[in-house]
Amino acid sequence: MARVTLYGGLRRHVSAPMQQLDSVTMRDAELQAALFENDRPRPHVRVLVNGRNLEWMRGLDTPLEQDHQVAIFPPIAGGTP
Amino acid sequence: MNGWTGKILDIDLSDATVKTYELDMEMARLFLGGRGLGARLLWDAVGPAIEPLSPDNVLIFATGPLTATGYQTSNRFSVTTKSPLTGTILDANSGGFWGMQFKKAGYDALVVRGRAERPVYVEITPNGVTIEDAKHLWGARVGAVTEQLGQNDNRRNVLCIGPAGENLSRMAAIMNDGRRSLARGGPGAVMGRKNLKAIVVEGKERPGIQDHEGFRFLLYESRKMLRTSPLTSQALPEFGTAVVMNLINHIGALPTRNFQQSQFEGAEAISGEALTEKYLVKNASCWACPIGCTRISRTQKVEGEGPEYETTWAFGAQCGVDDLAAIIEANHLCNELGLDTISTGSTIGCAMELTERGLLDSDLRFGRADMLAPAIEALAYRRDLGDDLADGSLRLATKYGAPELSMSVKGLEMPAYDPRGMQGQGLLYATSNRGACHMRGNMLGLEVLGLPKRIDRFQVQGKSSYVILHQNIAAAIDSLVVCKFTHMAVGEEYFARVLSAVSGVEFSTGDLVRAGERVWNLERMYNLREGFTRSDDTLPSRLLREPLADGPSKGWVNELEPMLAEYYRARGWDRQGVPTQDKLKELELEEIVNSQQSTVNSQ
Repeated sequence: MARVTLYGGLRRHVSAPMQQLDSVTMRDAELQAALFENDRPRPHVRVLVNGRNLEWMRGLDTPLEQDHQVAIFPPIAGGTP
Repeated sequence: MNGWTGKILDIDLSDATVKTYELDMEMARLFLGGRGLGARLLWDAVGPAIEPLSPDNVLIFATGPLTATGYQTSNRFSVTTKSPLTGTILDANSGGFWGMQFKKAGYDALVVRGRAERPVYVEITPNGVTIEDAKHLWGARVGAVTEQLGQNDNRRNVLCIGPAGENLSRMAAIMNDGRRSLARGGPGAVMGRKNLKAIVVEGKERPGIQDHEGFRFLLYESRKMLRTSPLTSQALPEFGTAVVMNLINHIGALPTRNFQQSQFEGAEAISGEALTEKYLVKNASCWACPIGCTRISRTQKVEGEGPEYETTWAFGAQCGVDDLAAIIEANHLCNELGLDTISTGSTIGCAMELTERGLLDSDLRFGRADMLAPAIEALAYRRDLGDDLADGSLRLATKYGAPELSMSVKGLEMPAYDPRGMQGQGLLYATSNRGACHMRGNMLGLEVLGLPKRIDRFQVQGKSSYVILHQNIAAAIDSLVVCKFTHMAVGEEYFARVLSAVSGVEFSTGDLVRAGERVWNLERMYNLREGFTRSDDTLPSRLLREPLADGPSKGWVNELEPMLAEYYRARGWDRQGVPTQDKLKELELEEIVNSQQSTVNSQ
C-alpha cells in the first residue's frame, strides 16, 4: 500500500506524520477540510507522488502502486531575502 | 518627490572628510533606490582599474523610496560594491532595523570611500556625523560590538563587521542589528580593508508621504492580503524558511554532498518542522513586518536568530550533516564572526569532496558535524586550511587541482536548489549578475510552488521569459526596498501603487518592472566593463554533464545552452550577451553607459 507523509501544519491533524493511505486518519474531517475545497485540492496544496507533482500527472485520478511515496504539503514558500 | 530624503552622505575615510550632497531626482526616478541607486552610483565611482580590496573601492549603503514609510516590510536596505569574491558588481540587502533608522537619519544613501589609518567607526545622529576611534572594538565579535555601541532597544542601531571582515575573508558579511546580514559576495572584507568596524545610526524623522489617504488604504489592503495568504500568515510564521526542506528533497532538487546527489537521507532531521519542534524559542520580526518568519532557536550551547533554509542546507545536506543542533551552532558562529553562511557551508562541502577524492589532506569529511565549528573559526581567522577556505570554493578547488568541484557561478557559491531538477533555476543562477543567487528571481515559486502560476520544472523551451520577468521584478523590489516574501502575497501591482502614493508621481506596474529591467541591464554593462563575457554565464560542469543517478530528477542535467540563447534574444542582447544600443536607448541607459565608458577608457 502506498505511503502518505504529511508535512508542515498538516501534521497537527494526525498522530504521526506518516500514514497508510486508506487509514481512518485520511478521512478525518479536519484533515479533509485542510486538503480539499469543493472536492478539489485547495489552491497551493502540493501533492507529490514519487517526487512528481500530482498536477503534472492525472490529478486525483492518478493510479497509485504499492511502493509509491505520496507527500502532501500545505501552502509553503521559501528562500531567504 | 516624497519618498526620498534627497540627500546622500559621502564619507572619505582617508582624510576623514564628510560631505552631503543632493540626490539627483532624475536618477531616483530611473533607478529608485537600494540596489538600483547603488548600481548607478557604483558605475561612476568604481571602474575596472580598481581592485575590490583596494581602498579605492567604495561601499554604498542605500535605502529606497519605501524604506521607513511604514509600509509592510519597508525595513530593508542594501550595500553595493565591487565583490572581492567574484569581481562582479555586488549588492546584498538586509532587513532588521538599521535601514529604517538610517533613512530616518535623513539620507537615501551613504558612500564610504578610502581607508582609515587605524580602526574607526562612524556615528550618524541628529547632532551630526563623526568618525570615532574603534581600536577597542577591533577583534571583537558581532554581538559584543553591537552591545558596546548600544542598540538601545532599536532607537539606535548598529551595523558592523566581525573578525572575518577584519581578516579579509572573501565571504565576510556586514552584520546589522546584531543578527541580520548583508552577506553574499564578501562586502565585509571591503569594510575591513577600510578599517571601518561599525556604523551606528540614530534617526528621528520619518520620510514624507504625498498621498496619506491613498497610502493608508494600500496599507490596509496589503495587510488583508498578507493575513489571508497561507504563505505569509501560516507557513512562514510557523516553520520559517526551512519549511521547504522536505519539499525540495522530495522533488529531487536538494543538493547533497557538494551536489553529488539531489536527495538527502537526513532532510527530515534538518527540516523546518524539526527546527520548530525541537529548537524554536519564539518568532521574531523585522521592523514593520507582520509576517515574522525569523526563528529564535536554542541549543544546549547557543541561543540566537536562525537558521534560514539556505543556511540549514549549507551546513546540512551540502556537508552531509543531519545534526540540527550543530547546524544551529554553525549559523550562530557565522553571525558572530560575520560570515555568509551559504558560501561558508558550500566551501566547507567543497573541501570535504576534495578531501574524499584524495586531493586535499584534511579532516573535513562528509557527515563530520564536529568539524563545522573548527572549520568556520579557522576560516574567519585565516588559520591553516582556513586561509584557503576564506578565499571561497573556486579559489580553493583551483589551488588543489579540481576547479570543477567548486559549485559556484562567477565564483559565488550556489544556493540550495539543484538546477538539474529545476531547469529555470539553472538559467537564473547562470545569468545572475552577482553570481549564483536564488533571490534574483523567484523560480522556486514558479517551478515548485506554482506561484503565481504553475510551470513544469523540467521545461526548457520558453523558460527564459519567466526568468527575465522575475529577474526584473526582483530588481525592482530590491530597489524599493521591501521584502520579497511580501511579494508572494502582494503583487508588484500594489508596489507600484504604493510607490505612487508615497512619491506623488504616477508609477504604473510597467514603469516599476521597467525600472527593474534598467537596473539589470546596468549591472550587466558593469560586468561587461569588468571583462566578463558570455563564457561566464554558465554552471559547474557537474550540472551540465553529469545526469543525476537517482530520485525524481534522475537522468537530468541542466539544459543551459538553449535556454541561454533564448534568454539573450528575449533580453534584447546580442549573441554574446551584450545589450544592444537599441535596448540601452529604450531603457534610457545609452547616455550613462556610453559617456562613462569613454571616461573609463580614457583613464
